[in-house]
Amino acid sequence: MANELKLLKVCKNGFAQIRNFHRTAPIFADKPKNKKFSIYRWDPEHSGQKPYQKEYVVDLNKCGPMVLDALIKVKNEMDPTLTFRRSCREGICGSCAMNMDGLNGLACITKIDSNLSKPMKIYPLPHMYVVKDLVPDMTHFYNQYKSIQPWLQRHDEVEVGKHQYLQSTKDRDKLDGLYECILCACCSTSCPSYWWNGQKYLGPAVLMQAYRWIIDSRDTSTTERLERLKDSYAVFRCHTIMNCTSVCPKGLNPGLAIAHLKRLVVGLEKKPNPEMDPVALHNK
Amino acid sequence: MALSIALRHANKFQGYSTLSKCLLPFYNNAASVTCASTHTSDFNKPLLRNGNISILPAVCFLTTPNTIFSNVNKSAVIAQNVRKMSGEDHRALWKIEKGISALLVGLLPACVAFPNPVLDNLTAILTVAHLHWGMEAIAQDYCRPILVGNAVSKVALLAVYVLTTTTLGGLLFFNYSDIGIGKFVRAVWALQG
Repeated sequence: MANELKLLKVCKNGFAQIRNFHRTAPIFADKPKNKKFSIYRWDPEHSGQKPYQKEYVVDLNKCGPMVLDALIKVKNEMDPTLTFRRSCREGICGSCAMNMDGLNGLACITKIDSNLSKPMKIYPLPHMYVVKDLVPDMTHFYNQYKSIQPWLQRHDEVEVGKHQYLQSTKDRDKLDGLYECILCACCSTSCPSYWWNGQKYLGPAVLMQAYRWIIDSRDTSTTERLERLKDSYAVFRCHTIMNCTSVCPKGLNPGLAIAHLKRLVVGLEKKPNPEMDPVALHNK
Repeated sequence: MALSIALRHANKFQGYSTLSKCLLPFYNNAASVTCASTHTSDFNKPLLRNGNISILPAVCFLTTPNTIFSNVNKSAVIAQNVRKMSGEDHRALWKIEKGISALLVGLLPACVAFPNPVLDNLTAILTVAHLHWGMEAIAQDYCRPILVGNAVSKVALLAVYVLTTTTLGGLLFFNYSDIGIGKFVRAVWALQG
């Protein structure tokens, strides 16, 4: 018993700190912090209706810190017709990509602007066809992703699935900063070049994935992949505006990947030979 | 991942496409991406013209991944995935463009530091080439056919050519009949207020 008391005494400050850490704003709030949200609305089922901004007032004391919390609160308590995509609510799935106060981002990891004097403006991803409210049509984006053939391709006829393909840790490190992309399309839809020439220019997200497969030491179809990007639009329409890098919610750098990709396409850079023979286990 | 969610809800998108008329042109474009091998039509032309409206892109979208994973006819899928491109090879031109940009960094000060006819004419040609590609990109980006129509977009491109040829002519004429670019810049700097 004495020992336990001693332990309690030692840990007392620690407990106090934990308690302070958990003191959240709502417990001590005295007056409501009403924040206006101006949200883009458009419903295809009301034919002829033009898109409009609808304002909702949310008390930030009774709402989570992120924009998605506010959107869910609006949908649950004020207007069930508000439509948006969301899934993981922690920045992993990329479903809730939208334009908030002029910047693309994931609603679930973007903080609500605490300045109560002006409304927070929420739009769907810029320059995309809208399906309804905040839901953009991603078909074209996914088709472009498909066009770069985002899967491992090898020319040798080894039996697939029998053994692993070998890759050195150094070769694997080259994929860091590329494979984390969740295809939320925040970067592509923030790129003016993609707004203007989206039909022919592939856009930062897709190009970064093209680069990810091109530099993968296990992939042998590099020449064919680069050959598909040689025209004046697919990759060369990138004007290095770098909006892609500044908005990426995962902190990736598509701009740098495209710079490398351009150099690879014209042959100023060469893909290094793999440090380990990927099919060494197959040939054993 | 967002992609898998979209795949799961692809049939819903298809429903939306029938609901909203304004999405239809886009869907047709999207279809021409996936089925580029079967349709040679231009990107901006809807598939309607081919009388092929029955191919809804959502269906296209649903069926092709299945064939990828079942690995039945991989080459057919890959052929289907050929993206509509402008066709031409831009690699050599890109290298020249960037080479000239890099060269200009040294050439411009050299032209002023050591004014002579060779450097003057080289500066005239390379600066105008640099200007031309820049203006061409601006014309292509801002005067797209989908925005201003085919005629205006062609006129804009023509205007760029007119601008660059007259500029080049003017600069070369100045080099031959007057003091030349390098000496001219020196003369401007030598002006006293």
